[in-house]
Amino acid sequence: MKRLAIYNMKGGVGKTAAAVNLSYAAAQLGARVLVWDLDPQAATTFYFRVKPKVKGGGKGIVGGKRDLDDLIKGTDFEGLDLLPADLSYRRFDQLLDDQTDDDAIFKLVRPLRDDYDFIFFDCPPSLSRLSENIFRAAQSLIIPLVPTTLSLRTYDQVAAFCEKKKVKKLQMSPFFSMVDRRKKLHREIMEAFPKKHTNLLPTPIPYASVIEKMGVERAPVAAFAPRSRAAVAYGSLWQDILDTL
Amino acid sequence: MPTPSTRRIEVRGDLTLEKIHTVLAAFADPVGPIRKSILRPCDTFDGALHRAGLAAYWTESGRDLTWLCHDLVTGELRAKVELSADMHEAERSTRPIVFAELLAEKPVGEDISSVLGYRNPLDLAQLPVHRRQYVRRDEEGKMILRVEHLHPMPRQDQGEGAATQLGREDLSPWLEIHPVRGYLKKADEFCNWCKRALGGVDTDAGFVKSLIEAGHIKPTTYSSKLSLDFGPKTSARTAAFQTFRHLFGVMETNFPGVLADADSEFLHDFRVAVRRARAALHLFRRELSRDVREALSHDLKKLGQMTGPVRDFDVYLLDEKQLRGALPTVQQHDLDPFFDHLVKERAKARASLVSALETAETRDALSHWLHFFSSDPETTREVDPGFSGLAAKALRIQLTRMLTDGRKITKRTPAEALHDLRKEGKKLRYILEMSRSVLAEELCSGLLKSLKRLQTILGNFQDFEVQADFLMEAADTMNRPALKSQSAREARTKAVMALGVLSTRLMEKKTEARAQFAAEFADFDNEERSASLKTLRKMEAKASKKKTVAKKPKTKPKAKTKTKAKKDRA
Repeated sequence: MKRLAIYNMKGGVGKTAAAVNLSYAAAQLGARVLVWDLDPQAATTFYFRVKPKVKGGGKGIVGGKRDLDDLIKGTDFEGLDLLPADLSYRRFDQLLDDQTDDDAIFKLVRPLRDDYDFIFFDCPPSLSRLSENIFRAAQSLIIPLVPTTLSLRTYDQVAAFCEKKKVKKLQMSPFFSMVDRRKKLHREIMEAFPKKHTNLLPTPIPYASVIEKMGVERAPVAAFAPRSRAAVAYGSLWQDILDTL
Repeated sequence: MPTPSTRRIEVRGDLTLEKIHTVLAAFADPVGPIRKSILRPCDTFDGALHRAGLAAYWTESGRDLTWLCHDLVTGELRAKVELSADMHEAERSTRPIVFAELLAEKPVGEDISSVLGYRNPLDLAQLPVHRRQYVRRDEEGKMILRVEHLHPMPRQDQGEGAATQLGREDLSPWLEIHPVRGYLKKADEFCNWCKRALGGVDTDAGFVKSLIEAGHIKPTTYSSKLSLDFGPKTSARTAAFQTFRHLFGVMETNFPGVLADADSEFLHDFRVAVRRARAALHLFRRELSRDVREALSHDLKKLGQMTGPVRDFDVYLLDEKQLRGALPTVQQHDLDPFFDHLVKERAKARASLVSALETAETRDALSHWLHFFSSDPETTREVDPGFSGLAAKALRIQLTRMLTDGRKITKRTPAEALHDLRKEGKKLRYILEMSRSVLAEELCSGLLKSLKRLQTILGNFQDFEVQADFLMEAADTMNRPALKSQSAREARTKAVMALGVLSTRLMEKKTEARAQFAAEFADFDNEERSASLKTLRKMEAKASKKKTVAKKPKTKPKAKTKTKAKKDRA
């Protein structure tokens, strides 16, 4: 089971859209996929039409009173399951603080290793105890970057943090998200960034209204607009990720 | 990824398609139109799936063909293969297909492919149905379960040679409810509601099990294994007749499958039965009159010869993956023209085989021998030695011969001696298999295990040489016709080069097998063999004391002479 985290400490960069669309692309290729929505906003849960309700809440999960297995919901798509989020997840950091080590998330998902080929962690935008747990649980950090100065700054901060915490096994794979090629700044950053960061995934995700439409359709883009530029881009980005694994 | 088990509810037989639709549509959204589909329960010819606790069927809708395999008891889905009906038919008609190979590529199918082996699933019956899908959603619009309504159509006329036709008269309509993970309670509620509204009952497994339980389909019990059970007092002639009857029975059972080319194992089993019969002819030579022996030997030889070429091509085609795998990756596709050539040559060989098998002479020969050996085995000898004595003697002689011949083989002995030893080994194995029921189990199992290991080495040694020669011959044949296009000529050159590499590899393997022979033979020729020989001698001595004087036949044996048999068939 490959463990991938869709992460950026900055909000509004397309993390949830990436988690939903990449997991769908993986399942469409025949893989067995689980998405764990860790964001108390429960946007991924909403996109998959699942009720944002976790029996026992985050406390039940971290305290070991609930098996993740019992909380998993099948989505409308074959091979794709979801571990939903609810508001109780806002206390995840606090709950993890009570744990003695930083491997709590890893230990929780380990029993599922034979059931799934991929697990996607859809992370909330922060750099917290939960993030530290995720960095240790995941093998690959997929980082959506909007080609703007602030977004790039956060990438450097995360990279520096991981280095400081000596999370050596974590592979960082940034990709450009919400790209608007009409903007000069976007074009310039997209040209300059790969020169310093060879780990950049080649496929950018365009800024597209069809991605915003996911909220209305409550489904991955490829499920309702399979020929759209965004759907094709997510499919191609998934291939890029597979090449790195 | 654990998938919740499908629940199956059989509904009242008198409910029409429309009535059920009206009821279901009130609580679930129909998806797509009503489709016609044919469900074809299937199993291998030897019933391997049923024996392994599996129930499989094809569903054919238009050009879509899906193979589904469930656990017979729990109904859990174990494998699913989707392919187009066009592809299925096209592939089946040109070359031997190993269905298990298709399955092995799927993550779910590994254990099932080992159950199937080289056998393909064949239709046991046909059940045409109307089917319609529904989806039930919650207030968020989320799918919480899928329902499929399958409604058998009235039984159709039995077509000539077709599988058993089933219909509405044999099976009630049923619902398959597929719960979504995390919504099992909702699925239970829906099932209970369906049972109340449609007068349905839960059934614990799939429709294939229902058809088996109702006796509409019968799992096959065929086995190519020699399952002969002789007692200590069985006379040699009775054993001979029973053995031949079994072997000609196997040939007759496999005959239609050989003609239809449904899978390569029909021809394989047919040929094994012929070879065993030839070994039996040697074992029971004194139990048959000279005329019978000659006529039988003639017919068996002919059957062996006519079936040989197709089997040879089958062996290479079934080994395609291994042969390609023996080459470097860049060269593996260079063998494409070679395999195309094999497919064409096999088609020619099959045409000859079919016309030879369909002649009245062949059919008559098979039915004649089956009839002949089904008759009363009146003895031709005044003193019948009893089968156990005969078997012990034959086994001792054959084992002694093998040990003597094998001990003479040194590093410098020509290859022919090893080939001859392999033939002797085959004879020994057949005698052992035919007489297993009258011999001590320890003697049989120990000897058989050791013999199999030795035969593998001898088989490799001979097969690698034969294969290397075959490849070079094929390269030569492929080189003959003039080709106009430059690309075709280039492809052929590459194929010939690849065959050269492959042939060299095979010769290297042959050398390895030869090097292994001495150690394997030393392992075979051990104290256990000397003990086996002693045991066999004791058995012979015991049997000779008990020689039974057979009753003189009231009438002369019914065996036909070779010429008389021919006249009859004409």
